[in-house]
Amino acid sequence: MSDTSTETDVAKTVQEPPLEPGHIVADDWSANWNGSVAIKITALVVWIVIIYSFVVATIMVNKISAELSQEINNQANKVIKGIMVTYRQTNQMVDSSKLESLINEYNFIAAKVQYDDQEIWVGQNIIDNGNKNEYTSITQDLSNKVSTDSYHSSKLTLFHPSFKALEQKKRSITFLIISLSILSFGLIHVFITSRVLKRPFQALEEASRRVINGDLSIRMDTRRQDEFGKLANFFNNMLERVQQDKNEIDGINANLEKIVNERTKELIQTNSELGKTLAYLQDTQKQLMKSELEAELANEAKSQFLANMSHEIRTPMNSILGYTQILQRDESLNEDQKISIDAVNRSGNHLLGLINDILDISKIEAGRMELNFINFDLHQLIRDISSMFKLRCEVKNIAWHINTDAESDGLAVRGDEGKLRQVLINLLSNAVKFTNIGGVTLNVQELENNKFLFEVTDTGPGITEQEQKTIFNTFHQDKQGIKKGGTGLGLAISKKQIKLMEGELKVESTLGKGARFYFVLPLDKATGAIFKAIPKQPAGRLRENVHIKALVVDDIMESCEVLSKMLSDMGVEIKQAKDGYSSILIAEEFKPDVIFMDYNMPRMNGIDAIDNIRQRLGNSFKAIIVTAHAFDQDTQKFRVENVDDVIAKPYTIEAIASCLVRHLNVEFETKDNYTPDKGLARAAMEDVATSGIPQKLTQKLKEAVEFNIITDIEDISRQIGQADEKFQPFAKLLEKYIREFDMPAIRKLVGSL
Amino acid sequence: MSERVFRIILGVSLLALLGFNFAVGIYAYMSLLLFEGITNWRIPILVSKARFGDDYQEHENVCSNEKTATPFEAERMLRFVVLILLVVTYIFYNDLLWWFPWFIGIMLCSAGLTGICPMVMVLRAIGFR
Repeated sequence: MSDTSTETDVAKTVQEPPLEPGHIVADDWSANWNGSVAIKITALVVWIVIIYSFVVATIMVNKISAELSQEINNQANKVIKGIMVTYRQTNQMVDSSKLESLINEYNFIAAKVQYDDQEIWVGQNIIDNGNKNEYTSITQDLSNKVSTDSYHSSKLTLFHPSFKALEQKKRSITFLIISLSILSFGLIHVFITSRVLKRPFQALEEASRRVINGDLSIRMDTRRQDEFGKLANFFNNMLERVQQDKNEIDGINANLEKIVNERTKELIQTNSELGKTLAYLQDTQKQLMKSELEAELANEAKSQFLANMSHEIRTPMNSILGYTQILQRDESLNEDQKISIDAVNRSGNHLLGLINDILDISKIEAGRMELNFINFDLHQLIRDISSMFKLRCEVKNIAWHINTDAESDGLAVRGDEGKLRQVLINLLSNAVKFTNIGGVTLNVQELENNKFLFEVTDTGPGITEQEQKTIFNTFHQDKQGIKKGGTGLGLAISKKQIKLMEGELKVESTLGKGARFYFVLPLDKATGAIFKAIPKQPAGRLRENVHIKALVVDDIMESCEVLSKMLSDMGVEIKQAKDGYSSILIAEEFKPDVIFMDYNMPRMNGIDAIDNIRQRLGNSFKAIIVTAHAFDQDTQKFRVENVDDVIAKPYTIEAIASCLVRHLNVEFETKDNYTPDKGLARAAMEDVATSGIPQKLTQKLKEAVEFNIITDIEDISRQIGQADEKFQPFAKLLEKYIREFDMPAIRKLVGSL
Repeated sequence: MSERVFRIILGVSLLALLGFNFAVGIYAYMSLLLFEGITNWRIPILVSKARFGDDYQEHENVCSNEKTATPFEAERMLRFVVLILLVVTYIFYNDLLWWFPWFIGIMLCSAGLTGICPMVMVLRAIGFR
């Protein structure tokens, strides 16, 4: 049976209300129907039984009437039989007592026997007093039963309860029995069903609840052989499996936990080590930063030192080279003196070259070398270099070859023209220096993607494989190099400069078969104006109708004197000033066309002085800063608004002359009317004129000059000098022109013979 | 007292009255049903009130009938239904439907026993509360 329905029954709702005493009256019959399988089964069975029972009972009860009628007839016959027996025994009609016993025996209420106008009643009062509807009578004719003349036409009337009453009574009894049976059946069924159905379900429910709560050890009773037993068996198997899996998982979890713990320990350890490493790295980083700072400071100090050294060396070099240039143009000096001056000049230039190389390599190693990108004509550059080295090759009597399209129209590219020129000159100088037989070839080819291949090939002695590995090292020189002289920096500088320009300088060589230096450079096509190098203006005098006033300002007397002398030799009117302050007053009064202003001066630097002068004189003059700071970034900083140009010390007379041409548009005496070293030339001419050079030598000399065969010219010059002592000045002059590669002067000199 | 218990009582009572052919009792039975139906003073409620006094509270919406269309209670309506059926089958058509009152009695008993009353379920489905 389902839960007992007491006052505390809780009707099922969506939320079960709390149990409160006596509050619930209505029952949720639907919930009961939905709430239990046992209830459903019980209800269905009971209803089926009820319906079946009622149908059967109804059919049965409908037969009651016929059965009753039959029964009454049978009982009436029995009564008649009794009467007959009595008659046979006594030969008289039955009396009332006998009749009463008969009707009582056979469940009749009353009886009446009529014979010979007599009546024998039993239970007459019941009939008379009772409701006639409640009784039914049945009359039997006794005449044929009683064979006597005295009892003929005798009748027996029996009274019994009405069929309806009997029927109703019968029905009631039947249905009562059926109802009780059904109720009993229902009770038993509910009881059995609950035991059969509900208990297993409850057991399953309980077991499931315990499993949910984590108890996997529970097992259901599997003694039953029916579906519940099977279900219980499967449930147990499922629990076994779940428990196994759980144990396995627990094992794995335990293992994992162990592993996790171990890993955690390792991690903690690693973390602590990492922490230490981090601390160490942080310390190292601090030290590195400190070292970097120190390196930066050292670099700065080095750069500053280099700049200072450059300045300190260039300033006196300027005086040395400047005076040698001036003395070279002094006609009053004799030949020996001029030769000595030439030697001083050469040595000074060599020293300057060495200083420049050292400064370059120092700049590169300090990372201070910067590229100066400009648009330039590559073909023009090749032509310039070609003309330079063609002559040198001719002097050494070796061939000069060039494979390029330099003769065609210009090729405008963008790159560091200065450094490219320097590298090519360096490589070609080496090639010419080390080649005595054969020739030197310059090859320039345009490749894909705006790249150019530059090759310098020579037929010199070649370079061993061992030497090739170290040839680009700083200050490296092989035996040949040492013999030939040099600083050992040229190739190192070239390699680094090429690398700066995103190329790589390489060498291929076989001993005895010459060498090939080559590199590939990216040179984008240039758009815009092309930088054209201003042609070197040969030093000379200004044209007669040109009058220029120049103010030279330098706190170092020697530098001031050198520049003043150079300018005065050109025919420029000069004034001098020792510092910025005095230059302002002098400029205001003198009103120069050009001011050559040193930058490094005490109290007021050159740019400040120019700014002051500009405020007074405006743009009526050209301002040229003269400085010994040779680094590009230093000279760039001087190119400010009020400054027209910057010249680096030591400067040449030609540079000064070019500056005047560029900014003041002046003209110097041309080559036609320019005769350098007039004194010497005149002396040479007088000697030739008096004694005369042998005709054969003169002819050979002229032919050599005509075909630009420098080696022959040099050879013939030597022969002329050896022929007679009085020809030696001439020979020396000619040799001088040969060293300076001054072909026009050579032609002029030889042409006058 | 819950309706379920009262069902059993009603069922057993009706069966006993029918069994003993106590017509007066059956009429009294019908009268009781009529009284409960009209007044809604159902015996289970009255008994609960008598038993628990002021503590008695009838739950609202205690039954899961989501289709309530009328506040007329299904339990109350059940009284009327049983009454009508008894009147028809016991008084008017007793010759033909003499068995129906027995059926009512048996079903009342089974409802009480099983806790499932199909008639009330049908009445609630129709819309009685």
